[in-house]
Amino acid sequence: MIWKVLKNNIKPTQMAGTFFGIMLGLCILMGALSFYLDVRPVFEDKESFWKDEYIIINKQIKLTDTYNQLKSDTVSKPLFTKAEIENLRNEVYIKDVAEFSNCSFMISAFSDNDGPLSGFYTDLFLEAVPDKYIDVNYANWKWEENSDFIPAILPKTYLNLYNFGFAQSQNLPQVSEEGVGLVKFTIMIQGQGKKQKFETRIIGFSDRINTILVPEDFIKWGNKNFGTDIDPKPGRLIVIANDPSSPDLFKYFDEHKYDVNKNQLSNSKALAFLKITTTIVLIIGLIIISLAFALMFISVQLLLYRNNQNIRKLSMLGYTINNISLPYNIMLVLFFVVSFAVALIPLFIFRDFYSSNLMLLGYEKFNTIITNIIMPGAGFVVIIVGLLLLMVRTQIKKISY
Amino acid sequence: MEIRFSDIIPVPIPEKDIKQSEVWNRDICFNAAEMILIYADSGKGKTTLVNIIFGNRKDYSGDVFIDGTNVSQMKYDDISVLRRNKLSIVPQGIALFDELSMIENIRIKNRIFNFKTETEISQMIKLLGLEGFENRKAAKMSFGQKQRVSIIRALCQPFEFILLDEAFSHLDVGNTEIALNLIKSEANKQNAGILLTSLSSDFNDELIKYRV
Repeated sequence: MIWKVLKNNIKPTQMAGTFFGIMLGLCILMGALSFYLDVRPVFEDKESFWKDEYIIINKQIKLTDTYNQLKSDTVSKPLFTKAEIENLRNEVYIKDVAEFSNCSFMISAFSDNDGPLSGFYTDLFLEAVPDKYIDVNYANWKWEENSDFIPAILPKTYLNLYNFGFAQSQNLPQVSEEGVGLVKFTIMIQGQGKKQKFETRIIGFSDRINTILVPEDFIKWGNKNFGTDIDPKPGRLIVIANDPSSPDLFKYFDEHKYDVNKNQLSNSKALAFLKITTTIVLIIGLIIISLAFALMFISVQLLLYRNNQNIRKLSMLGYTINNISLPYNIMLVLFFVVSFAVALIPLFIFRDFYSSNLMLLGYEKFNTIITNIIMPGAGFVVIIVGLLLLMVRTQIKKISY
Repeated sequence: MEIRFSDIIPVPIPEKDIKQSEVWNRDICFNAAEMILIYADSGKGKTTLVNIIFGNRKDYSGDVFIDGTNVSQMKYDDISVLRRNKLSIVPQGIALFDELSMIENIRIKNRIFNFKTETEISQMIKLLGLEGFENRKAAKMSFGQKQRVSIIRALCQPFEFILLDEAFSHLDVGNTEIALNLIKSEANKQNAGILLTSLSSDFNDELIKYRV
C-alpha cells in the first residue's frame, strides 16, 4: 500500500532510458575491465605471451660505415662502449641490460664423414648471452673447461631457411628439429697460434635470439686462450624494459640511433595501442555509467521531490525513514540487479569472442568469470546502489522532518 | 502525558497577538485526560501550535516539553516513536492520500500496529455516516467526508493526546457531535487527552479553553 502512494510520478520512459544507460555503461565498463584483467599479465610484462620482455638492440649500420671499414681495418665498428651500456642501465624505463659475448677467434665447423651431412664445412661465428635470457630450457646447457662437447642453439629461422629455401630448391632432404639434434658437428677453433677441436650438437632452436648460441663460459675461455681480444665490445645488447610498450623507450632508441628488432617493435606498439584502447574504452564506460548514474540520481531525487507531500503524510502517520525508504530501496536494488543481469549477456558473448581469439594466439591465462566479471561488476553495483540508498534516506529525512 | 509550553513565541506571529494570547510567551501545561480547546480567529497561530507540539515546526523561541523531553531536540526516530505511540493528529489539511480509497486511507495507518480490527473500523465508518464509500478514492470525496475519514484514521493508533486541528470545520452540528463523542470515547479508553483547535469557543463547558 505504501508503494501505491510512493510510486506516483514514476515515468516509465525515463526509467527505461536510465535502465538502458546503466546497462550499456555496465556492459562497456565490465567488458573493458574483464579484458584488462585477462590481459593484464601482458601489460605488466610478467607473461611471455608475446615474448616481449627482451628487446635486442644494435647500433645502426650506415653505408659510410661499410665504406670506412672496407678502406681500413682500424676504423671503429658500431659496437657498444661500457659508458653507453651504463647509460642504458641508468634509464628509468630500463630494468637491465645484458651483452652479447662475441668471439675474437677463428671458428670452422664440419660434419662427420659418415653422417647424413657428410662433407659439410663452413666458417662460423658463435655468440653467447647470459643463460637466463635463453628461451630454450635444457639441463645440459653448460660448458666446463676441459670438456670437448659444446651445446649449441640455432635460431629457428635458420632451420626454416634450410628446409623451405635451400633444401627445397636443391632437392635435398628436409630435416626436423629432432633430426638436426642427432647430427654431430666438429668445431675447430684457432688463434694465438693454437688449434683445438670440439664436438657439438644443436640441442635446441630459439625463437627469440637470432644468432648461433653457445654457453657464455666457452666464449670467455675461447677469447682468453685463442682470441685477439679477451673482452670484445658487444655489437648487440639485450634490453629488459620495465614496460616494453613504453613510447619513451623507443624514443630513446631512436635518439641514440639504435636499431630494434622490427617484430618486437610492432608487438610493443600493438601492446601500447591495446593499452591505450582498453584505457579509452574503460574511460568511455566510466563516462557512460557516470552519466547514467547522474541521470538515475536526478530521477530519484525528482521522484522524491514530486512525492514529497505523500512522504510528509506518511511521516505524519508515524512511518519511520526506514519504512518510507524500503520501497524505494527495493526498487533501486531490483533495478540494478536486473540491469546487471541483462548486461551479463552481451558481456559473456564479448568475453567468449575475445578469449577464443586470444586462445588461437596461444594465450591461455584467463581468469574465471566470477573474478573477472561477477565480482568487480557486483562490487561496482553495490557501491552505486549504496550511494543511491544513502541519498534516498537523506532526502526522505530532509522532506519529512 | 504532559505537554508543557515554556515562553513559546512563534516567529510568524505578530507581537501584538503574542501579548493578547493566553498561550504564547506563557508557561502552560496540558495533561493527559484533559480536554483542551484552543480557539482564535484565523491567523493567530492555532495550526502553528499543533505543528509545534507535533514536531513539524521549529521556527519559534522558547521550549516545548513532552513528558520532560524538549521537542526541538528530538531526533527523527524519537519523533516517529512519538507519532506512532503517543500523539495522534487530525490535521487541518486532512492529509489523505488522493490515490487511495477511503478504506485504504484508514488501513495505511492501522497496519502500523493493527490497532483496530476490520469490524471496529467498519463500525466507526458506519457511525460517521461513511458506509458505502469505502472504495471511493479520497480525491472524489467531499471535504466533510475527508474530515471524517481523517478522524477515523487518527483513532487507529495508540495515543496519549489527540490533536484535532479544526477537525470539524466542514461538519454540521450533528456530525460534529457524533465525531467528538467518538473521539472522547476512544480518548477515555486510552486515558488520553484531547487538544482541539477551533475558530469558535462555542463548545460545551467540559473543555479547558485557551485563546491564542
